[in-house]
Amino acid sequence: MAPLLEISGLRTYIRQRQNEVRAVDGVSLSIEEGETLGLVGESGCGKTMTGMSIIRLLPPGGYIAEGSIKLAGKELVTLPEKEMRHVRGNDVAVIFQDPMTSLNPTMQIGAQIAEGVRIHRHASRDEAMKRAEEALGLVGMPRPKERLHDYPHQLSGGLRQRVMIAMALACEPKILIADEPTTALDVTIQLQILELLYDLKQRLKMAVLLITHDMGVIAGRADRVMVMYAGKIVESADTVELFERTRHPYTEALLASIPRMDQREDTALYSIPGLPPDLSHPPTWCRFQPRCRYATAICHEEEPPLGGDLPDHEYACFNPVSGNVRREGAA
Amino acid sequence: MAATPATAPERSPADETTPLVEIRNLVKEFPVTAGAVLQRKIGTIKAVTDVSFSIAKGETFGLVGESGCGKTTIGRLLVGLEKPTSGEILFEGRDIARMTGSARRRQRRDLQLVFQDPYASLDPRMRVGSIIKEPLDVQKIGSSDERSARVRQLLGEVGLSPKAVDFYPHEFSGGQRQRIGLARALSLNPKLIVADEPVSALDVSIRSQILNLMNSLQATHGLTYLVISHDLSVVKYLSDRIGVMYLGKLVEIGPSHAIYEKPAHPYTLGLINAIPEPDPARERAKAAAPIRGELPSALNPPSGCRFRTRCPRAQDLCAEQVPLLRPFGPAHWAACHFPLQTPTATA
Repeated sequence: MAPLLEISGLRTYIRQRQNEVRAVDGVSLSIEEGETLGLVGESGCGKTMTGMSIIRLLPPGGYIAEGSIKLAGKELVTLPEKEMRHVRGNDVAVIFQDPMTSLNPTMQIGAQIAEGVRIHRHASRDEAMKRAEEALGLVGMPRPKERLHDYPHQLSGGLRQRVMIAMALACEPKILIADEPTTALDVTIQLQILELLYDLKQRLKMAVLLITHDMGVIAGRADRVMVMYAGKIVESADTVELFERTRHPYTEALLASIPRMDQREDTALYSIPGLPPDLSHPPTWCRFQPRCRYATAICHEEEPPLGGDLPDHEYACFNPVSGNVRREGAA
Repeated sequence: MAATPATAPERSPADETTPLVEIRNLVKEFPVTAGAVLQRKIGTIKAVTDVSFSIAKGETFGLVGESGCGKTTIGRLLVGLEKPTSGEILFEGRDIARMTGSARRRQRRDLQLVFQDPYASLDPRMRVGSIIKEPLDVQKIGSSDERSARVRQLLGEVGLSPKAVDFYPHEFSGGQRQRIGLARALSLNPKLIVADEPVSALDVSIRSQILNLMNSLQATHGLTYLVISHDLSVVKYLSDRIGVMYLGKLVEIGPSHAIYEKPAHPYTLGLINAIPEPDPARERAKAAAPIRGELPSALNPPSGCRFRTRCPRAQDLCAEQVPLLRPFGPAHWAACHFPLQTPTATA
């Protein structure tokens, strides 16, 4: 069976006054029905741009230069805007990072959730409100019927994120793009929201693209992981495989630079020197080379292809590392 | 004073010398007002309720808790940005909350603050050189040449090029800006730096650079840190001792390894378990969220133990009596009626 979402050779550029930033530079990925794919990387690596390319909500100057995005066999890149509006919120829903700013402060939350249902499902006002109430109940909002008439400012951050999720789920999307869904929340609430997303995914057989910078969030919730660096996928594998047999030095460095609870306080953290490259003039060789502790001559000459000798585990590196960062770090 | 009995633990015999900072029964209340003109007072938010702890010289003390627990208020009280409602903040034995005039001004040199957001805490229209020099200008320290030399030296210490003086903050990345913030905090040779969420706004790879830099600066300058963060893993990495706060109260305090290995308070355990770990096997083995629900309002905190509404171990007693801090090992205290460890006779 063909995957639900298939992105191949996606290049998303952002035109600026003087130059053009290659935010996404040749990304291919696929997500099956009911699967959670984790997309992990630091700010500016293109992970959000990849997600926003799917629903074609790009910042001013942003455009898809190349590549194809197929949702259940339908090409989205060339889809007319009118039809695209039916895809957004209906087939593909998004949860944004900041629940404080992504809700309309002047609208009651019930009406905000119902709006999508009325537009996409042509439901009546009453039907849509009923659906909104169901959706709020689904995301664990206490007393959903009373809450329908609350304004966003009356809710805490965790509850607002539940409203965002309810809004995303109200039209039963095939795929949910969760862009840093818990970054703005407290740790105890983060855990509750992650559990909710996981539970909903299981029940509704939804595919999820989980975009985050947090390796910990990825470890618990994703089936597969793709690590992005400077607009490219540098490593891709099953979650357990990626953590157990890390191959790319960037993934290794990311894992080694997180302070862990079981770590002794006197061991210095590994820190990646330098900064990511300028994506308006990306190097033609390995993009991680200037910051890599294993770089050799070839890394400055050629761009490593995404590949490798392992089944279902790809990496773009000439000098892959081997083994489990965790155990090495703990030793 | 708050109606609750004094919960200050007696100083353990281990720290014989006077601590650098000693906070005693600190209370900070914020009035809640209604109406645009008359500002009627309709209630009080008890941001900090009867908190006592001390920080030894050269030590790193970490304060951890969720947003709204009062940890930032304590940091602001300590550097003098807020006045306490009651209680004492002793710095080298003197109460800084009651200090005024020139003594207050002199005292400010010893207490510096590093802010969370390096994008918002540097003036976008000032060059980096002036930003770092400003504290020296304000305190009138050294000649103009001496001040400029000091700025270059500070830039070197935080790992930036001396050329940075002529650039504006927007020309730097988040990590570099946090280095500028650290250089500014160091310019007056402070004794204590309050770091409020020093790495929360930074990317993972940059985070470790700043954490390592903070550790090395502490070693070279003999600094004492108060690190405030919601991230227990960051706090544990930097701190010798940790205080866990919940809704204005200190619920557990102790050496950082004891807090992690043998937490006595259910809230502390919940915080530890809530941190997502980069380890699929452990992450997937975790049980359901141990802390239910959301933080109650500080306007009407629950009676008795404030954590009881979210606590898996809560019983009737928790609603009736405020739990006092009890010892759970050397310098380890927790306030819980039904703790996860057996209390010890002495600390």
